[in-house]
Amino acid sequence: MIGSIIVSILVLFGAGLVALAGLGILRLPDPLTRASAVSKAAALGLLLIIAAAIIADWSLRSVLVLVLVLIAHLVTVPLSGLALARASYRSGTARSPVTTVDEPAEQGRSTG
Amino acid sequence: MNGISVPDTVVDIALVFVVIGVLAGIVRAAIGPSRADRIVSAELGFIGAVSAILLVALRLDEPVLFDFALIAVLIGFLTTIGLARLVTRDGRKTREDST
Repeated sequence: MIGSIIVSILVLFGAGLVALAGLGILRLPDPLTRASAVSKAAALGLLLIIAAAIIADWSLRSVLVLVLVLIAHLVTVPLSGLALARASYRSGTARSPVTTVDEPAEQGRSTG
Repeated sequence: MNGISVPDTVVDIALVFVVIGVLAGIVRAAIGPSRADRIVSAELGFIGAVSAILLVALRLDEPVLFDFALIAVLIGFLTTIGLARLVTRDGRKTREDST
């Protein structure tokens, strides 16, 4: 019973974070901030859903597969977020005036 | 599945949340001004797809679908990297044209 409540909370928080990433991708002003919203919020959301599935289906085979999913997701999401941000920075898309920090230009590398 | 049973309505509500997020990504892909916006929404769509696979696996008590999630995570990573390379090369080309 208590396990069922915990799994329900994890599933709802995870799916809510995916919806929140959708809100961020609609509301945020430029591609850099949108990539940030997706790679943080949706990554944590999928992480919570994987954790819920691990708790809900507690057998050796499922836990092994789901831990593999967890590791692959944890390793790949920051990399793909970085690649997206670099690509959108290098392609010179318009940055919003709200996005003020520009570290590659401060370090003298104009292409990032 | 011999573990903890999740209420079906909870999984349904979670699936509705995931669909809301992916629909927002589709809207951004339709109106997004630059190509980077569309690739960001593709990334959101893939994360939504993996979430939906896991939720359907919970709903239907089918642990086989977890394997699908593993494959989908790896393919989504490769797709995102490839699309990001595509944007970078395109941007360089337009910058050379403008100078």
